[in-house]
Amino acid sequence: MTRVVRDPSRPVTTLELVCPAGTPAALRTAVDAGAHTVYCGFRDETNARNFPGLNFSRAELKDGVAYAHERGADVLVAINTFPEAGNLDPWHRAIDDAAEIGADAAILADIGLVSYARDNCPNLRRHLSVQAAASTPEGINFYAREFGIARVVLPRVLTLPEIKELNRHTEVETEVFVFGGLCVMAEGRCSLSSYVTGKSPNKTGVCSPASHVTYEEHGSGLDSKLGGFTINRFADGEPAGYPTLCKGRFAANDKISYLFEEPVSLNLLTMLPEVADAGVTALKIEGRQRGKAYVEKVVRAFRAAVDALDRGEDLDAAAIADLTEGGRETAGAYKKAWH
Amino acid sequence: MSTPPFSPILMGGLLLRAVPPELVQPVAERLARRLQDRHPDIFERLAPLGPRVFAIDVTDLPWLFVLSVADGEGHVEVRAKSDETNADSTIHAPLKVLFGLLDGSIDGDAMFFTRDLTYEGDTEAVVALRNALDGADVDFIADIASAFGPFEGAAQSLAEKALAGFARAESDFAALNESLIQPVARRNDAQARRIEELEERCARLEKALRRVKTMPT
Repeated sequence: MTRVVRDPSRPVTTLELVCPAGTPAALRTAVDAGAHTVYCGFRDETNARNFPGLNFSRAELKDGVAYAHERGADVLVAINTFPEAGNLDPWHRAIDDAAEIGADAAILADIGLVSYARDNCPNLRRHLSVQAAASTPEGINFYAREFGIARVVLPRVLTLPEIKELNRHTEVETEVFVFGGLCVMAEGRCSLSSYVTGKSPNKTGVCSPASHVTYEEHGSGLDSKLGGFTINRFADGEPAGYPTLCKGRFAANDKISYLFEEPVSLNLLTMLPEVADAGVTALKIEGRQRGKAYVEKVVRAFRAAVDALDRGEDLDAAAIADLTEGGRETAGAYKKAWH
Repeated sequence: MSTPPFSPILMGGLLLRAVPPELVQPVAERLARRLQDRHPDIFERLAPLGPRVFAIDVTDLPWLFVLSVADGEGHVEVRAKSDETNADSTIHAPLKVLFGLLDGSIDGDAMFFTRDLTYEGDTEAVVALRNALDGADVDFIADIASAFGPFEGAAQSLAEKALAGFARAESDFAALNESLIQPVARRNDAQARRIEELEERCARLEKALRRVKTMPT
């Protein structure tokens, strides 16, 4: 069991736990498991997890918000894709409906939508999505000054010392990813999946759309393909993964290796004392496309960790090891050893 | 395709091999109807996909369950495993995993990553089905028990007792399995250690060979 001892000199701060929900059942599960806040999206291209069978109708979101509010939790609505020119209606309607339903904030990426929300739904709190890729105090303060952004979700490319420094130069709340799938590209700007599938993750809301994914069993294992291209080949018994180009394993110069990074999951559970020390407000768990069992287990483990941190107790990281992609985990850029 | 675990279900499945699919059909149909009545949202979530056919291969039972979904409704047909189907997707998993997916107690992605569940065919349809099932609050025991009207409570209690009995049998099977495979496992471990040693030796020899090749003549 991994144990992390909290620094007793650090002031006690309650970190807000922001948890994913792809369905109403997952929202209720997250709230019951101890989420302070749940984030979700409408069932269309306005959010970056536009998977089939996932997400909320307006009526489901209304019920979900009521359920969360009755139990003291907040609900954020991700409207974090980039609208097509000439087709703004679905995105504007999403912002209007999120405000009407009583969501606690909208998570926005496109600067035009941030401006629309400020002008048309001034009482709806505005969070800047990781899709906006704002990673400097200057950029974040610009959004705050011009559009009243209250919180920014930081890209997963910053180290903890960088986040600490950033927090010294902005009044805007910061939210950081602490668990789940790890996007290694510049979020909101990556078009790798578009080249293979013809569908933009930033506009249609899904990287490696399931409609373009196939798995093929063969004698010695399993091939995962995206748009007809083989992205990975797993030997018998080797843990499989979802085919995204940035995490593909390819053969070149007689060597087979991952292009950028092995498919591992982010897990900062044991680093929460350092995350708190960096001055962040909220911890984000990735995984709106994952099931209730995942949500329940991860949220419960992180809520216990946040509470333990507040009580000055040690952290236990054993509980969530089997939920990571390929069974392996990383601290990602937060603790990077390269420059 | 995933290999079924050594379990009471697998043993039961072997005993049930003589039972033709036609005899199971009415039970499967009734269960599917019950699911649809109590959880219409499952089929509503699948509706945008259009008509789809899923073949569900319960690896520790002798039958194939073919689920056809269209216009917000579902229909199930029980077939022999050898039958051809026109399924868009075929899902292979043991019964326990499928029940876990149905009631949301098991994470489908984790099952797929570890290959306890495999599938072929239309990934979009499989993802949608997984999401639709996970989004419904299915409690299989309660759903079935509710079909017994005034005897719902008794049916629920009976089902819970049966589940407890199954858990005990499962634990016995695990112990039996461990004692049966222990000698083989020991031999495998020894072979794995030997392979590891040989690989290390190979790597050392390759390195030495590279050094010799790059030496000036």
